[in-house]
Amino acid sequence: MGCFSSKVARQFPGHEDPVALASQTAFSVSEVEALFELYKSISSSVVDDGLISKEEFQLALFKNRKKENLFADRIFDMFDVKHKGVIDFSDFVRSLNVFHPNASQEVKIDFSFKLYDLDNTGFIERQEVKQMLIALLCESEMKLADETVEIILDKTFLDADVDKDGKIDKSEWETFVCRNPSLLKIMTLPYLRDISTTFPSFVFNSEVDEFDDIDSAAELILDMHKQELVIFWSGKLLLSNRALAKLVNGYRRHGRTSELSKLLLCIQQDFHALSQSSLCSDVD
Amino acid sequence: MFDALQSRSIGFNSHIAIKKGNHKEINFYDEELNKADDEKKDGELASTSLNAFDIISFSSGLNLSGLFDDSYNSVDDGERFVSTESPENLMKKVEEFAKEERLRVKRRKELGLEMEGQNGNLMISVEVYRLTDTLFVVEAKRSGGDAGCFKETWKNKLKPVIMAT
Repeated sequence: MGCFSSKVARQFPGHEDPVALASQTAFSVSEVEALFELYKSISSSVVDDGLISKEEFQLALFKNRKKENLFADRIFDMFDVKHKGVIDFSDFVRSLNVFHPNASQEVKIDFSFKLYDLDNTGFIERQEVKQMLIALLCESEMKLADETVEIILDKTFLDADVDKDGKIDKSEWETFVCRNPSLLKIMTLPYLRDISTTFPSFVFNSEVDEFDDIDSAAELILDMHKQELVIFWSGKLLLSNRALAKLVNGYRRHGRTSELSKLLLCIQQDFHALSQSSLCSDVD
Repeated sequence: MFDALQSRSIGFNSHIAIKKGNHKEINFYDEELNKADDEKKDGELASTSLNAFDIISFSSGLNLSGLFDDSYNSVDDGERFVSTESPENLMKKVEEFAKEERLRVKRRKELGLEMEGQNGNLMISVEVYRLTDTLFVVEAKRSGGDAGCFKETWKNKLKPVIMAT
């Protein structure tokens, strides 16, 4: 879609071509475009400047732009690859790439090590772990006595700090994580496995509005046809069950399953005359 | 084809036709995505305790799901607290709760379970982790279903049951 980059480059500083991003990450071109939908909504939520600020990041993560959190700060700093205080689209895609289920263990281990190395010394010191532990306890309902905190730290360093120098270096971290793979669970986002399902608005979005020519529109239709989202039937363009399933998933992910049941009933009633089989049973 | 485009009929008011046999099996539950991870985790945690990084991993700031899932709310969607009560007792209480509320227990682990009710609108998972010799962490999470249902049931019914000594 040739018209994509020219319009976008004007509105989004530092924007990189989706084809280039797709070739260098685990995402396909249409997945990069789906991520762009997400990026657009986050980056315009406080100031519409095409960049994600710390506040906008906090808003997206916590639904609260003023909520401060040590760990969200660390994630933001790591996503802000060029240290500009804002996240641009290519930072966003390349950083999320680390969280892709197909990304290597190596990049996840590397990212998590840097994440926890608060002062970027190349080591995770006991003091830093203590600081993070206390930060976590503050944000949760968990209450622990000081001595319990020390016991937990002792045990962790006994396990992880092999050379007993009071800090965890990169290779000690690698070994530790291999023995405790659940520590990398936060480094994978299942949502990224099929990102176009996460954004049903991408399916229904009239990108059609933005097309300058019929060829690009035709391309979009063919792409959707390839993904089995629309079907050609009796000269009409129709939604496939798969597209409906994506919609259903959208409701589910938004926790609105009671609305969904009502919606399905409405659709079923409306199309009772037309349909040759029951919508609900097919969707099930 | 372009007529259809111009009338922008991709939406609810368009013709939605259902072709028999043209559907893909869709799994609606997060469990399938997380199951493999959980089973692995289970094996380790059953015999070991949480370390500092396990606890740190609980942070909502490290859970990027919020970027993708609009309904996800770290405060309302789950809670963790420390308990001195034995995990066996805790699990017993939860099982009884499930029975009384007529919730179906979908998955059972050594120290955890997942239950469902109200036609799938209510989905709660409860898990217990060992912290030290005497302390445990109880984690209750919304594992799907309606956010409002979970919040109401957790706050008003299940939480008081678990915390009662």
